[in-house]
Amino acid sequence: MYIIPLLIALAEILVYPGLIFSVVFGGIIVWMYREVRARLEGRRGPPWYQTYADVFKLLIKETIIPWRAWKIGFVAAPMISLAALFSAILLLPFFGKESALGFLGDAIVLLYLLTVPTFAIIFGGMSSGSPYGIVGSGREASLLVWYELPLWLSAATVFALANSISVSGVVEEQALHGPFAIRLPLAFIAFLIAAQAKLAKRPFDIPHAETEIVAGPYTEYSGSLRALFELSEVFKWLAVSALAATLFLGWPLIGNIVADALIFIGKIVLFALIFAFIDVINPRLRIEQAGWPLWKIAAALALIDAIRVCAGLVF
Amino acid sequence: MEKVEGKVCSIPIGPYHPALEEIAFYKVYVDGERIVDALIKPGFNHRGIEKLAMQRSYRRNVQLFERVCGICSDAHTTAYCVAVENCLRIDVPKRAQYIRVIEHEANRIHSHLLWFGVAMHAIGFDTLFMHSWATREAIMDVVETLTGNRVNYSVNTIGGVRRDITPELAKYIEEKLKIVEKGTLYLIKAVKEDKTIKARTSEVGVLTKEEARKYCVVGPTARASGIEEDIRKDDPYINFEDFDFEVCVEDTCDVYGRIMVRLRETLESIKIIRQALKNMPEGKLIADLPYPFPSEDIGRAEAPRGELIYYVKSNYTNIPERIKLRTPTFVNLPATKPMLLGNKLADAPQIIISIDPCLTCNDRLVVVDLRSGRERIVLLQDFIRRRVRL
Repeated sequence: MYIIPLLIALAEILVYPGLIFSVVFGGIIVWMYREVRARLEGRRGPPWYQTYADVFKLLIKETIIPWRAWKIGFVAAPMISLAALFSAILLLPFFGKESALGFLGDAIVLLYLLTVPTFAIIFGGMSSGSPYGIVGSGREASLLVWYELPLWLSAATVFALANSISVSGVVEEQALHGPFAIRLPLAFIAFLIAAQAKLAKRPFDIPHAETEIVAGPYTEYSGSLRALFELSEVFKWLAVSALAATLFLGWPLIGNIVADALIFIGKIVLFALIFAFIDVINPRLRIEQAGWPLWKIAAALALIDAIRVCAGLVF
Repeated sequence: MEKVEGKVCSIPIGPYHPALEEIAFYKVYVDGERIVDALIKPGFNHRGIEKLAMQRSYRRNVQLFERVCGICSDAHTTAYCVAVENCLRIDVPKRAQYIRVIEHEANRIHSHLLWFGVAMHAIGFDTLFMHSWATREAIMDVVETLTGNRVNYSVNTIGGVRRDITPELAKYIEEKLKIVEKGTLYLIKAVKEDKTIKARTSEVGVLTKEEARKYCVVGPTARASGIEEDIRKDDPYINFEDFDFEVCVEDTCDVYGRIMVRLRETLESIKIIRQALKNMPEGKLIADLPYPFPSEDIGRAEAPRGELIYYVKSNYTNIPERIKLRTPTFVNLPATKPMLLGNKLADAPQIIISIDPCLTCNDRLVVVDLRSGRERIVLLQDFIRRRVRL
């Protein structure tokens, strides 16, 4: 009686959009980023399986926990980060309109789940006991303060216009009345800037600037724990691109699950490439310079659109 | 080292660090992100080159001094050959001098483009880093075709050069120089127009003109602080007085100025190579060498990093009695401390890189007495007292 829903749930968690799909697709997204970057820099770039090879190699390496580290926090941080992102992927509308675990108000939970990895990174860096980790965590925390405001403001603008706080509601509204990327262009740009910072890509890759603080919070991580963080970076990229596609490009919606899923995957690739392109053409900002584009530009743009929505000026 | 009190955290930079290719140890004391003190500790790569040089013949020393620095290898052999030629009163043929100039300036172009790539990497702009190194590949091709090698050219020798430049080769160099010029102009345009590069490098690592004089900095570091000094102009060697070029000076005194000085100098070097190819005189490649006699003299060269000095003392043998070299990094390195103070930790790598440190040429022997913890630098007198054979 209950065996079929259980099997479907298992398939969703393990195959699509869960573990197997997200690992494979995330790896391809990272490969595409590296390929774009290599081409723009006049290089050839790695083979397509490079990300999997990196993660696999890290998994079979020895994991060293420094004696100065707080062991529980050090080990728990990558796991928390990965678990949160995995749950976030199950909440994203990989079936066109529906997500694997959708419920009323899941969009808010989704945004919360995407904030958890940042805290996990801060937590891991602080408990690693390395000066690079502590400085990197401090930078990650400052960056979090900068980018969360425009991110949430633009997301809230979308929720207000869609009159819904569920993922399916947001997508449905866009399918009926056109994507929010066109209806809320300023909030869309604000979201892209904030998402770039959330992904810690250039010009906001300040928390793990390798020429300054080695790998920042990741410095002391090695072996399988580092592999978990690598995977969570991959998932984060996937999830944030998917979030951008959900909130601002929910159109078109055909009605056929397979076609909708393919369109959604195409949109994720599009956003991942946009983030990759911005990453390639920018140098890194200093931490206090990062506040300027995030608050003065992104937050201001998002605020303008929020006011437009509240005043009923968006159609 | 001063004792630092309060809520200060010390961040080690180097000797193994992704930003610092060179093996120095910087202990940077930070209060939050602000640098309050810095401790510079070189000394990881003592190779005893001066002692080695006093056991080899003049000719073989050329190959030895090339290995002092892998990047400005030609500057080292030029300075050494000039020192020996001054010391033994050798008149070098003009054609050989012009070929030396071409290699010297090609070496400078390659060094500056390499440095620019590393500096861009320090601020996280890997795209420009790759473009700069792609441009550099053209000048590396020139050097390889001219000398047969990419790093240690071995083309200078006492009294002249070992390889000639044929007219076909000259044409090839002209073509490659066009690529380098185009690439360098593109890099200058990128640096001038990109707002983020300007935001990251302007008013960072400031070394005022007074401080620059106090620390006696040399080369592009001094020129970026508004001091107009260039050995090629001030004390022309290898016939630099024949060439028309500009000494690039910037008065911004910061990292941005150092970037602009080096990029503009690259263009000036291209100009010099073109003049040398155009006005190349005919003649011998190598002078007749005299028997050594007791004498002493110095040779100066404007290496890509600044003034390079070689001191040579000769006797009746074919082995120099004493050779002393002073590399530009040895002078510039202490100046990184005033540059670092008051800046952000995020700027530390690019400030250290901005003097173009080359520490392998820099390190001196330090003897540490483990029981008393006393450190002592071995001086010339100690060498003389302890010498076995000179």
